[in-house]
Amino acid sequence: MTGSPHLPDKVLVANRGEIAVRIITTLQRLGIGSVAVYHAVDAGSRAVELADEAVELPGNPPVSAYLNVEAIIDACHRSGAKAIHPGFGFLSERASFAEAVRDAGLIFVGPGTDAIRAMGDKIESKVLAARAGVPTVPGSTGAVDSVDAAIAVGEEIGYPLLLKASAGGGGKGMRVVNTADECREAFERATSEARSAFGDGRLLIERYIGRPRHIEVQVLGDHHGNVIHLGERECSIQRRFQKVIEEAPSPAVDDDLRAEIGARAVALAQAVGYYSAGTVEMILDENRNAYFLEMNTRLQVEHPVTEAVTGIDIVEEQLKIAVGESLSIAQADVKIRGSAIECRIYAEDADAGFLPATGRLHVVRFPSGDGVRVDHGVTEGHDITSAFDPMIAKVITHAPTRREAINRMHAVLNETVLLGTTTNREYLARVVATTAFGDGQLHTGFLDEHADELVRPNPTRSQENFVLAVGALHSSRFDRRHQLLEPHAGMAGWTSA
Amino acid sequence: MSMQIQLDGGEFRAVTVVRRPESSLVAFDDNDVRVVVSDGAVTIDGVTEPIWTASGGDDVYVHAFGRSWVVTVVDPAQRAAQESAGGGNAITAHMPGTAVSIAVAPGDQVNAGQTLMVIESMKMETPILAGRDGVVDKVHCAMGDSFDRGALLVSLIETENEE
Amino acid sequence: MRRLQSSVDTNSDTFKRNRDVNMAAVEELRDKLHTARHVRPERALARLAEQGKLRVRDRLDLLLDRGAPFLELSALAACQAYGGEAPQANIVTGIGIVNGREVMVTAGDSSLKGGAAYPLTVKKTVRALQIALANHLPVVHLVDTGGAFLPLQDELYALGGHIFHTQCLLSGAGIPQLAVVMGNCTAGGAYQPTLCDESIMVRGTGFVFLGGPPLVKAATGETVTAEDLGGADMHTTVSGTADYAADSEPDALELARDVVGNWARPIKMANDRRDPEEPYYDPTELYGIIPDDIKKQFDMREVIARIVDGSLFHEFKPGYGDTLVTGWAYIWGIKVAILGNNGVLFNEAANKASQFMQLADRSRTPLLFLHNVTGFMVGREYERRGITKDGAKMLMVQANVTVPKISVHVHASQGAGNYAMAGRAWAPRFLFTWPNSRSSTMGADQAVKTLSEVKLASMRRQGLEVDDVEFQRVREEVREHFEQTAHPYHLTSELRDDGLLDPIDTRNTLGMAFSASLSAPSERAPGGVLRI
Repeated sequence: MTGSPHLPDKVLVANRGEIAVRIITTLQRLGIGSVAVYHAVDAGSRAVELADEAVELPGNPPVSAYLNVEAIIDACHRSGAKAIHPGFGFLSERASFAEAVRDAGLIFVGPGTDAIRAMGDKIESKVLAARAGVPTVPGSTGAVDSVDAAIAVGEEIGYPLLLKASAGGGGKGMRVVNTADECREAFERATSEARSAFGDGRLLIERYIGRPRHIEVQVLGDHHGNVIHLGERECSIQRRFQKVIEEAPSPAVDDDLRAEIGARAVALAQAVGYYSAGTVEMILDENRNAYFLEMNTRLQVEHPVTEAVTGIDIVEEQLKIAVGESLSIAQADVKIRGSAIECRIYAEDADAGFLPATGRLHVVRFPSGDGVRVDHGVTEGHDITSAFDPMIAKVITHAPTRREAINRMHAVLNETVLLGTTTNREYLARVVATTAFGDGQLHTGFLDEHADELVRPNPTRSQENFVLAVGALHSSRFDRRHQLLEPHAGMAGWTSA
Repeated sequence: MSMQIQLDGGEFRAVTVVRRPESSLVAFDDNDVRVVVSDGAVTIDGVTEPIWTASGGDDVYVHAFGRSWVVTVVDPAQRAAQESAGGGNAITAHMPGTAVSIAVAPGDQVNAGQTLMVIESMKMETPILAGRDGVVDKVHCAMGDSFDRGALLVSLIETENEE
Repeated sequence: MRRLQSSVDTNSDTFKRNRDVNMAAVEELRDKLHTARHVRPERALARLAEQGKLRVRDRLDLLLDRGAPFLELSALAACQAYGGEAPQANIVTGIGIVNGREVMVTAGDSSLKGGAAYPLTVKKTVRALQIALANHLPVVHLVDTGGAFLPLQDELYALGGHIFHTQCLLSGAGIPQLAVVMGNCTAGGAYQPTLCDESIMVRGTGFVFLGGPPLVKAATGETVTAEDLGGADMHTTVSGTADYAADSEPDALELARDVVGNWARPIKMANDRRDPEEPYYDPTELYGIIPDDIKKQFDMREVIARIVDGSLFHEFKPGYGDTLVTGWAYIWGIKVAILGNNGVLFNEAANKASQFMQLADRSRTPLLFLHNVTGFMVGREYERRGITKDGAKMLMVQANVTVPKISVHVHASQGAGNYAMAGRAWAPRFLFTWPNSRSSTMGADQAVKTLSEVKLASMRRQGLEVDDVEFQRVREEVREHFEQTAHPYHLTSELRDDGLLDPIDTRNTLGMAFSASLSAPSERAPGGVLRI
């Protein structure tokens, strides 16, 4: 069976790793032929094995293969695929790629080229967002050149304020001020710090949000102007702006807030004539005000939590939208059921500054069962190298309550076996086990705030001995040929009289 | 056979293994541990725990108690031999020959196993390798020089003995 | 195979009396063993330490697999010789396990008299090598000896050649040998490591030379150090006489383990093996079963029941020749064919034995002889029925079986009964004795009577008057000498057995001994079984 008459009969997945596997899985479920593209280092990967066909792409370093527009479109033609799904990362938000695909007479499973461009433009996107009712964090419209100007901004947007260097980040030249006096005092110091760090003492000012929560809304639009939202996700657990744990729904968002930010996200999407899947990312302050960050015009890494609580296969919807079908779901049909959490397992040493780890995954075992989903692209024997980002898998749990989803996640992480390189698996388990996480007290500084609590606990002496004994017994250094046989094995340590 | 074993990069301890069909004995200096292995689980001291293991080189990866561990087992004799053979500061010729090419100069940082120079002897070219990481102190011969067995070729800057 | 039925009453006076006597005897045995093995003067131990040498027991601990059994042989050799100057005859021998493999170990003990080799030292070494040869056991020699004990050189010189000859025969039979030289190997002794397949020398303490520095100086005037003359470095890099040099004894022993671990494991003789099982009956009951007097009898089945797996026994021909028990059992999972005495050997018993031993030979089942015999039956009726002929048949069959034979002097082992039951001269692979056992030409009473009469007759011929007191004195003298020489301590001191056992150690001892015996290949002799 080759799917509904409208859907393409073959789709090329221009990506790799777990997302390629995930997309191919939906393609196979819908009876659609799948074509994978790969660089030689990924020749033995799960995606390549699962796909119906695979085309090798040239390039060095390996990432460049997945950015090779001509080769990808060529592969599409040669394989007879009618559509390309770009996944996320790589070329998914490159407007010129979407254009080239469409110019080549192929279907790009994603939004329109204009929408990609519009939302890709930092300034234009903020303007559009403000107009749609999702303003950005209030702040100065450019560099503030004097103390008085700074005070004026404070008057306008309200305290507390964040002074920051316009030329760079990393905390240099950054100051939080709560009153006009503090602002006066801090301005000079921040300016000189910025000058010595970046050679440019100019400062920007914006409202300071102490414990911001990263909330994003999933939207889905079709070619006929229909746009709906599928609820929000909270992605506040981040390290260096890299998301680590996401969930849906957000513990900080009630039905009213959901309806409100959902409506605004939809408005923004409609303002740019958006179709396919997209995500509007926002910051929520302690007073539940939402501020626009950016819109991602692609499928996101953490989409599975939305799929879990809504029961909707977003990739399937993308495919239907791509061939011009109207949305089959109305906003009123979208129901949020239960709670879902996703943890990203990375090859990194969480106990040593999160240094990326490499190695061969000798053992890969993921638990399965009710309310457990694991998206991964690794196999036993897979080498983790520095060629690509070190994400090994996404583990998603879904349960009727958030507490149960957390418990299930904790159990799943403990039972997941990944041997051969260091991962953040245990770190993730410690995070979800903290009281603060259980209480939903999340914000983007969570991991730093609770760093002490998240230190790896020392093993007990008996656990150490246990593991050492197991290791010794399995070490190839101790020749298995030297086994004690009967009767000697049974006469442990006996000597005559 | 006695090996040195460490857990997650910690201290090394001496260990021997006596394998038996039913329960093997792992003996550390201070205590002996009886290990019974059955389908995917290990029992020690009455505690049964499902385990997963994998090996890579000197390392054994173990998953137990929900944690991932790395156990490293090294042969102290081999390690000592490596250290005494080429781990010192003086790199000498193991047979008479001629220096064909010289790859390092004083002050160069070198890694264990790195080629320092190539010598020719008996119509064969042999690379001379650094036995340990270090910094080149002096190169004692020039390209084209001939030398006898035992001649000093390269010396590294003396460092304190590592553990 | 059924479990033996026991009819021992552990509450009877007899049982308790036996137990007291036997446990006291065992305690005495353990004391003697402990002293012989471990007790040395402080200054002797200090001197060893100064020389950088380990005690022989510590060397064995480093060589052998931790947690594996060790069957020491002839532990009380020389216990009644040389005024006690040479405990264990200055050498430890036994079967140990190295990296899972059975090996015969000979380990010189140089703590006393520099480890000088007495005649019994040589005999003990040769015996160990003979056992290795017969059982195809690889040998590890931990060599540390002070050379021949010259005051007794005439007793050991010719004998000493057997060591090197047997080493050559071992090699010819394809049995590997390793020497670890941790002391002097001088003169003839230099051949011990050199005849081994591989040898390790310890730097600073291991030396191999035909003549040491003093002898060289005396012979040719040359001055040379021991190291230069025959040290580890010289022999492993210049002369090639030895193969490995080690910096210390622990290093040498670690290396020795590697060498042994590199040897192939032997292919064992096929045997009808099963999983081992502890005896059903309590082995400590043996103390109460064995009588407190050599003339008293007991049922050998009770002994069998406390040695074999599960106390299971399939008795062969139980209604015939009932003074000999024959049947099959398992010891530590190894199938064995057992002969045990329950009285003197009559015609029927001897013939049953001949038939049974042939069955064992045909089925390639090793034989175990449990001795409690004073001899064959004498008398007109028995002679007319051919008791001597029947005895000869039993001897002929026993001598020519091609399966391993192991004997244990459980109680009495006297006269031709000892021969028929595979006594020392009949080359059992191993011979062990119990403290209560006695072995001699005939029973003590009989011997005393006969010998005293002979002595008295001789005294009378010389015209000496013999009164009652004198008569008693002569009898006592004879009895004392007889008892002393029939005693297992005497026998074990003289290497007439391979070890004096605590009866409850018999099961483990036999388990190890039978396991070792299966390493030697053997061919079945042709022909059917004669129902003798």
